[in-house]
Amino acid sequence: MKLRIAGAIALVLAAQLTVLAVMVGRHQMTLNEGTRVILKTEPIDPRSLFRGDYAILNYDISGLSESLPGGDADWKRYDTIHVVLEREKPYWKAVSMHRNRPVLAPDQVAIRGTVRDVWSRGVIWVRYGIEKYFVPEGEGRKIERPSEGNVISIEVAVDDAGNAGITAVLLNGEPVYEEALF
Amino acid sequence: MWDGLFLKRLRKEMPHWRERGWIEADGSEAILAELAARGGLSRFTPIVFAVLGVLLVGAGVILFFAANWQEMAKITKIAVLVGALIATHVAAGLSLARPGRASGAVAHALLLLGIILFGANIILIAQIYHIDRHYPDAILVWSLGALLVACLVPSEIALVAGLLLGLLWSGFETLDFGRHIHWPFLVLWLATVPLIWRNRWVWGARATMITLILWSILTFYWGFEWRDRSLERVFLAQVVLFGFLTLFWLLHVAVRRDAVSRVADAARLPALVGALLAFLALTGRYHYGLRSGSWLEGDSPPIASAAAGWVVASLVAMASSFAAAAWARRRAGARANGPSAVIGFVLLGLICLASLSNLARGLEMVPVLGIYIAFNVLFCGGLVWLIHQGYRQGDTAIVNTAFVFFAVLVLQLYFDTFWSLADRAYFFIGGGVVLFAGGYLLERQRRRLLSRGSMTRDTEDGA
Repeated sequence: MKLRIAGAIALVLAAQLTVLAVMVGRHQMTLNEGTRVILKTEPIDPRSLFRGDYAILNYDISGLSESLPGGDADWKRYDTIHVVLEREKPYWKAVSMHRNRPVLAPDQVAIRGTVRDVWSRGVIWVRYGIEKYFVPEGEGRKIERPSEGNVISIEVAVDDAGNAGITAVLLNGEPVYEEALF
Repeated sequence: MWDGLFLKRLRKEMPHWRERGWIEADGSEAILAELAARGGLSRFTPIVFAVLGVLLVGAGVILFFAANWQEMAKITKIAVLVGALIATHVAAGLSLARPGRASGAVAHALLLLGIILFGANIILIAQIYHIDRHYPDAILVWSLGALLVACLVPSEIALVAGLLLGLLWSGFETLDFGRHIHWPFLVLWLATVPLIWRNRWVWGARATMITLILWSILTFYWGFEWRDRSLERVFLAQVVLFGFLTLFWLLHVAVRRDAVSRVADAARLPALVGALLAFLALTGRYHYGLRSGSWLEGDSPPIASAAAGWVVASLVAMASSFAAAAWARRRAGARANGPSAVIGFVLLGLICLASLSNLARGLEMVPVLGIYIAFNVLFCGGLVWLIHQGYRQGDTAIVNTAFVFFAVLVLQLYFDTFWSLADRAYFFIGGGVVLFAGGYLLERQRRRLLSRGSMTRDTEDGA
């Protein structure tokens, strides 16, 4: 009886800890192996009730025009979308939108997201899973409203499957928060 | 607590029963002694205290993290989170290994704490690493973690937690990600059924039915775009109706088997409530394109042919409910061979016909108003039949449930169909007459049952 209970508890713990490890491992793999891109952002509305502060990040690529050349059209809410980003100075720019992962040129990456809304004016709102950044309590405002003349941008790693993760928050191009495993 | 009240009441009644000669003095003392020995506290009391304790500890742990978040290094945060998870599971394991009711309650409360901490781990690790992907997946993983505990330990409270988390997952997928009908929930739901059956979990059986009802309501109201007033919503309600009827009849049969009687009995009433809710949904005016104040003319209904999938699903559900009802009748033997059983089958057949008419609405050959009236009349007839069955079987829960739905139907009809003061006056007069007549018939039925009971006793005494 005692052995059976010990076995059951050990199995439960093993499964739950594996899930947590895979969660961290997958994310870390994206950060380590993904292509680094710099995105222009306009942070808005920090605060999390239970988890300290976070900044909600609104990127240039969050709202896309349907008139982007190439790619697919007729987007609907909740569609999966692959947005091709091309290296430009200082920020990477969206160049086309696709339903399936497209073939990429050397200076391009494709980031995967979900269509959150489609406006009648031809704007497609996309969520990539990099819209929240948690910071220590009280520091969210720094990102949310940088002082006059300062520019906040975000460095993101995009892996081959289109998954993205934030690697650093940049103030005037210099990292103020950097992500590490520990 | 209820045991204590029962004992008090019994002590008060015993002298009266002894006086009448129904029980001997020795017998009454033995009964009271036996009940007193069981203890004044309900078997749920330690569980309730332990669960409340767990919820307080869980809230405290989360607030502790929130208060000390900034001071902790990333590695410390992870060590504390994972350490707490491991420690709780180990403590639960140690409590489970000790015999006794109190340690059992503590063990299951600790398992619940472990489940809460597993969720806290997922959410807080996602925060530490800024992981913000498809968040319903996190709830699904949390639910699966709870169900794993339910399966391996096994633990009923973990099963209930897992089912509720599964429902939350389905809710996020439906409401935040526009899942049309979130079928994967049913896979998770089905996986819990053998677990409940094998372990004879009464609360688990109730929870599984209640979560299925809540999922059906969630899908019915939010799984479709409102603007298309989709016929699919009607088809779904029909499948849910026949599905719950099938479950009700199967559980009705299972109640007679000693091994699973309590579990089946616990799930039977929620299954009936699920069927009645789906039936009630089918009596609503808005599914037939009928607008307030102009229902006699009818609005142009949302004509569309039923997709092949819905036709197949509806036919399978109808056939299952017929087969389950026939099986239940056969198992009940001679008691279920009266005219009441025939009326029950006729009603079921008519409900199937009305549902088939809904499926055929795309053909524009079936008058929509006729289907609307048919569903309302059949619902009313079904409730009367249920009340009659409930009285015959002495099942007050069925009688009360049917009366509650009857009251809701009357209210719905009132708001759906009566718009002028004169209409409402006729409605109340008519309703009053129906209630008087119903009360008279029910009282007559009650007296007949009582007299039949006393005749049986006299015959037994004579023998």
